[in-house]
Amino acid sequence: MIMNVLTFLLPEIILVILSFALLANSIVNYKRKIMANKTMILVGIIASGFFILKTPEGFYLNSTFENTSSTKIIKLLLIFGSLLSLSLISNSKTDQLKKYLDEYSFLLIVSLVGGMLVVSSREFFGLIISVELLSIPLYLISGMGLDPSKSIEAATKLFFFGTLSTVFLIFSAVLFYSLSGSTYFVDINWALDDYIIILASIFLLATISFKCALYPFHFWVSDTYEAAPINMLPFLSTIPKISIIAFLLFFFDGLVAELLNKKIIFIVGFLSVISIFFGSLLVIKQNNLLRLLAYSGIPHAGIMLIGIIVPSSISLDFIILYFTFYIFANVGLYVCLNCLPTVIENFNLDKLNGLYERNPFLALSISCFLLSLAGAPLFGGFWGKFNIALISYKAYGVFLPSAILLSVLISFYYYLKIIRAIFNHKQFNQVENIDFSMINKIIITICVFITIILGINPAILQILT
Amino acid sequence: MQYSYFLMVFLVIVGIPLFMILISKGARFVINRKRNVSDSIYECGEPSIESSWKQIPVSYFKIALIFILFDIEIVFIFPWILSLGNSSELSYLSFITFIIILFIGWIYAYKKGYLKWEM
Repeated sequence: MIMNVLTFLLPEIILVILSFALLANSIVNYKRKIMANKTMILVGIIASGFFILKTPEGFYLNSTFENTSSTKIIKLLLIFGSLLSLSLISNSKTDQLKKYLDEYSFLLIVSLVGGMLVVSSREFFGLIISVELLSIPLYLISGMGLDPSKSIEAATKLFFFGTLSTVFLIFSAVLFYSLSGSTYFVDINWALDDYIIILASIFLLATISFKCALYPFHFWVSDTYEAAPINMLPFLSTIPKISIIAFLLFFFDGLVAELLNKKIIFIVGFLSVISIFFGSLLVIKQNNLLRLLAYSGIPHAGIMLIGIIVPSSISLDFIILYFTFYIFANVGLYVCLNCLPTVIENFNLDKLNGLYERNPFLALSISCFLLSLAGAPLFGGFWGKFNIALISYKAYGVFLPSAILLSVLISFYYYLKIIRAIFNHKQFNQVENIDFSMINKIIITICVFITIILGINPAILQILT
Repeated sequence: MQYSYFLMVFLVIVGIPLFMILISKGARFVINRKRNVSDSIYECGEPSIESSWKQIPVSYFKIALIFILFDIEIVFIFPWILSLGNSSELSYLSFITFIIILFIGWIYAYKKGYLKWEM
C-alpha cells in the first residue's frame, strides 16, 4: 500500500525533501552556502522531473489524486518553469535576496508542490489543501519585496482576499456535496437542473478567478507584481495560473464533453470574455512596466479559460501549447528585466529608452518575448491564440474568436508601446551596469529558442506526448 | 428542496442590505456621550494608569504563532491516539511525517533565534 502510494507521489516527495534540505541549509553557516543551494535545487528538480516520466498512471490515495499522461506533461512544464525561475533567484543581485536565498527557494518549491497536486487532484478535500499549499507561500513571497511598506501592503491585500476566496472554494465544495453526497468530482451530476449546482459553480469560479486574476477579481495583481521582488515574478505570473487552469480543464471535463449544462458553460464563457475585454482595456492606460505586464496577464488567463469550455479531447493539446509558450515567454521576459539595473520606485516605460543601443541582445530578446505574448506570427503565441480561436469557433460560433481577435489587436498596441521605448534613440538613462551573467544568458537563449521553435513548428510538442 | 433554496435567497435578500446598512450608517446610531469611567480599562473603582491603546512587543506575537503551531499539533495528535488501536501502518507513517515536518519548523525557529525574547 505504502510503496504503491510512494511510486505515484515520488516527484512531489523529492521536492518536499528538497525544500526541507534548503531550510536546513539556511540555518547552518559555512563557506559554500550559495553553491550548495544551487546544486541542491538543480539536482532535486531534475530528479523530480525525471521521476514524473517514470510514475505510473492511475488513481492513488483513495482516488483523491490521479496521474494521466496529460497531467504528467503539465507537471513537467510546471517543474521546468520553476527551475528557470529558481535559477534566476539563486542568481540575484540585491543583498536582501542573497541573505534569504534559501527561504525564497523553500517557499517557491513548496508552492510548486501545491501546484503539482492541484493539477492531479480529483476530490474536494485534496483540492482545497493543494490550493492552500499553492497560495500561502505566494502571500509570504509578495511580502518580501525590496520596498517594505509597499510590499507589506500588497501582501496584506493578497492574504485577506486570498483567504476569502478559499472560503468561497470551501462553500462551493459544500454545495456540491449537498447535491451529490460525495466529495469526488466524478460523482457530480452535471445534468441536474437545479440552481444550487449553478451557484456552486459560480462560487468555484470566483475562487479560480481570484487565483488566476481573471477580470472581476483582479485587483490584487498590479500591487503584488509591483511590490514583489522581480526575481519572483516569473514564478508568480505562470505557475499558479497554469496549474489552476489545468485543474479546471479536468474538473469541467465531464460537463463540457456532452454539453450537459449550458448555463454553467455560458457563465464560464462570459467570465472569459469579460476578462479578455476589460483586462485589455485596463492595460492600455498603464505606464508602469510591471503594472502593465501584471494586467496583461488577465486577457491571457481569459483566453486559456476559453480553451476549457471546448471538449478536452480536442482542446487539450492546444491548451498545453498555450501553457508552454506562456511559461517560456513570461520567464524569459522577466529574466531580461532582472538583468536591467534595479529599479525600486516606479518602473516606468521610459526607463527602457535606448536599451537597443546599450545591449542589442537583451533588447531583441525582450521584443521577441513581447511579440510572442502579443501573438505575432513566427512566434509561439500566434499558434497558441490561433488554435484556441479555431477550436472555439468550431464549438460555439463566431463570438468567442472575435473576442480573442479584439484582445490581440489591443495587445499589439500595449506590447508595441514597450518595444517602441526599447528602440527609442534616447540615451539609456541609467548609469549602472547591466548585470548579464552566464546563467541569465543561458536562460534567455533557451526561452528565445523555444519561443521561435514553437512559432515555426508547434507540432513539435507532440514529441512530448 | 425548494424550501432550502428559499432560505438561501432569504439570507441574500436580508443579509446583504443589513450588512451594508450596518457598515455605512452604523456609526450614526451610537449614542455620543462623554465617556470617563466606562471607557477606562478596568472600571472597578481602581483608577487606571494608562490607556489600553499601547504598543505590544512583537515577541508576544512570535511566541503566540509558534504556540499555535504546537497547539494544532496537539489537536491532530489527540484523535490519532484515540484510534491508535485499529490504525494501519499508513496512518502511523503519515503521522510520523507530520510530526517530523513540524519538528523541522521548530528547529528552524530555534536556530534563527525566534524563541529568544529579545531580538
